[in-house]
Amino acid sequence: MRKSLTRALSIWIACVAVLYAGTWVFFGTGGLVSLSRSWTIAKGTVVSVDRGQHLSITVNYAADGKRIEQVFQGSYKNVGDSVDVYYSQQNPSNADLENPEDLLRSEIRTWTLASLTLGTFAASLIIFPSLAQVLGWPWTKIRLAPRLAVGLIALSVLIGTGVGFTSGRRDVLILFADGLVISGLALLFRRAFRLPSETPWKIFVRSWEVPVAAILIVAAQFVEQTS
Amino acid sequence: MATSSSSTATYTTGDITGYDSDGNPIIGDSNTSTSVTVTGTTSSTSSSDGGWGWGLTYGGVYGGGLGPNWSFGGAGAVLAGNFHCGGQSAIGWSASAGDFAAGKGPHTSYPTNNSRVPNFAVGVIGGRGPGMFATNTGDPAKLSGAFNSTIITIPFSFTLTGLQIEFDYSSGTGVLSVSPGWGVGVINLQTNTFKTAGGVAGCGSH
Repeated sequence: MRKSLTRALSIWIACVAVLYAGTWVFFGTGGLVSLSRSWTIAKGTVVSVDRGQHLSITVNYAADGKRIEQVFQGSYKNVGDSVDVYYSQQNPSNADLENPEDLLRSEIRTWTLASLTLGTFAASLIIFPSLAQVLGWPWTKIRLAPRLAVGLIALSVLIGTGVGFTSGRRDVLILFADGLVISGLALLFRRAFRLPSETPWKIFVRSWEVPVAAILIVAAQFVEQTS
Repeated sequence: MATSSSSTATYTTGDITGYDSDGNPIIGDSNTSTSVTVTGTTSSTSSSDGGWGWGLTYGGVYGGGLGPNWSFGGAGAVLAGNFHCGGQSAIGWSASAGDFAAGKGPHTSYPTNNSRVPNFAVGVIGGRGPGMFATNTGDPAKLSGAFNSTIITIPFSFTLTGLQIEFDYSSGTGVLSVSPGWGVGVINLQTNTFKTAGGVAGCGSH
């Protein structure tokens, strides 16, 4: 009983921590922290409006003798309206239309509450797998054996490569990278289809073909980057 | 959903020669030979409004591949919940979708990817059941437009039933979702929130 409670508590803490860390990494809160430590206010003028893109406005303002045009989101202002711009003197493009200190406080409160709530939901799915089975039906009835996974990845690679080729992506280096990926995939295919269909993953990965395929696929990413 | 696209900013440096009627500095003039114009790229910034929303989400995701040029995928979701702002609260909802094939190819995604992060998938991802979401805006109208969406599927059982965590981000506006899913891997793509309604209109408008 005590062991299961400890396990449940550990899962809950891990879920909340992962979600909270994710909000900082993905939602760029770091820039706001830096701005909230030191900012300067400038008067700006709205020069264009795009309501279809997160209620965007483009604001022209002067920061330390530089004229800057910057896009801000979430505003109902119209062209010609005046707005206060809070910008960082170190990096004038790091700016906001709200008091950065108030904004940071609000962001931390929102994402802390969100991580606690959604983390509890995530932990419930892990602690009670039957709940995930019911909510994830019918997908959760499909067992993703190595053969099926490799088959689906092969299909995705063929679609991606085909669309890229027909849309004009025919550089020599890209074609070489395509060859590396397809060779790696062929090795995985060979491994998966030489084993019985229900072979577990831990058996599947015990072969020279898997690391060689991984090397070919990773090499392709580097070749593609240089093209 | 997708990007916090980059926007081009124009900086004109020069001496402040005066102030206009709105208090804006006037930089140089037509006779100022020392003025230079520097064009660079900056990320658009801002802006949460101090409001927030949470509720239920339902949608689907599919995708697979081995990196930006060798993958395809798509995602769509409907969010519905309670949006709060400045002591007010109201029901609101939004719908979004996006897909891609061959991350870097031209004309191969909806919506068009203007961000620095290419569309890609690594692994195999599918499914998605009903889940929960939270956002940092009290006005669903601020969700309209392109987002950069990253969906991570972490399996926790032998059948690869897993947890799907989705981060949708565009310049200060974020949506975090958690749902049950299937597969193992990560998919990054642009999505477009094409329909929004309800919520606290004009929340924190600056």
